[in-house]
Amino acid sequence: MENRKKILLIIPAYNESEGIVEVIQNIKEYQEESPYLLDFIVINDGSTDNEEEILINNKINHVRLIQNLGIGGAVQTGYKYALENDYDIAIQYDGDGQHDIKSLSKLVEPILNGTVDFTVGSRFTSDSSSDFKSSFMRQAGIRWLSALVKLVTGFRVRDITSGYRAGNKKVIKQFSEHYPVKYPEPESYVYLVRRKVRIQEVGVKMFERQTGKSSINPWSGVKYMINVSSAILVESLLGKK
Amino acid sequence: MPLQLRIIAIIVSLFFLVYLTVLVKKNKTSAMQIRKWFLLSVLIILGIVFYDLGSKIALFLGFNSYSSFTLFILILVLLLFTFKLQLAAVNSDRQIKTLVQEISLMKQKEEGRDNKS
Repeated sequence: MENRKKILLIIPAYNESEGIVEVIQNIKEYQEESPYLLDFIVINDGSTDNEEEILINNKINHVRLIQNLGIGGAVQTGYKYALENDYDIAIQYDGDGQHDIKSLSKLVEPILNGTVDFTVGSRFTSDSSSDFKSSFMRQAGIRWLSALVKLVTGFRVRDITSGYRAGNKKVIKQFSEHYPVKYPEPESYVYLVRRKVRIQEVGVKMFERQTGKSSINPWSGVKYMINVSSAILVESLLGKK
Repeated sequence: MPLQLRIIAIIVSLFFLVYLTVLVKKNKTSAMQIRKWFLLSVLIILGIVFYDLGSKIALFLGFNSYSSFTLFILILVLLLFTFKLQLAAVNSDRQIKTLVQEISLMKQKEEGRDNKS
């Protein structure tokens, strides 16, 4: 009798027509060799390029959001899909080729062992094999946000903006109900720690973005830092337990 | 406050009241939705008509002048209106997000694009 846990890869994708097929191809190759019961769902976040056409033509399992919701809304849709289809573990996985599918076991094993509820793939832990660590300015911003989250929660996450994360059913249920919309990765740690979710940071491999464009530029970077910092502080002061 | 300014303020408030009434009659809004603005206009008119009483209240509360008092009250009221609008907008955002997600997931189920392993 099949006793393996059902694992879902949530792949938010906005205007990733250029590289999404290659990303899915890598996943399918991994599916064949991996010991896990692994599925994936691409969340087409109201893309304005021909991403939808490519997903349909290549018969890629996906949800097309009828309106662009941003990264938070798209990922939450994936969590809702995971909840509806009774997945045991959900993993956030970028649709731009930045995440290494072969690092997936590092995210999944601690959850399967029952030692933690949520794992974060990190470029900055000692066991990370990632050569790509982002630009100097971004690293400085990441350090600042990491220190701020540590200050308000007592919990340290080095790679606080990492979108390569995995959660068990407890996390799936919580994120289906509430997932930060604008700055989900840093904000969500305050939310999870308050709810006594056990979190572990694990080293993974990441690559430089292969296709598409980042939404963060130098000017929006400063705005991002101010907004995320204030969101973290307000969530920690006012967020419900 | 000079008499000319009081007359202008009353005329402007009355015009605004008439405008609100026309909007309701033409079904562009409902009385329920604009009642706050209606009440505010009535209060402004009353404040001008009973100018002397208003001045006594302002002095009693420690304001230097009736103008300062009315400005303070108006700003408070507008801040409250703005805050309530912000809450309504946030709530609408949340509802729209949920609707988009639920409809998109339903469409995915119906169109049978599931290729689960």
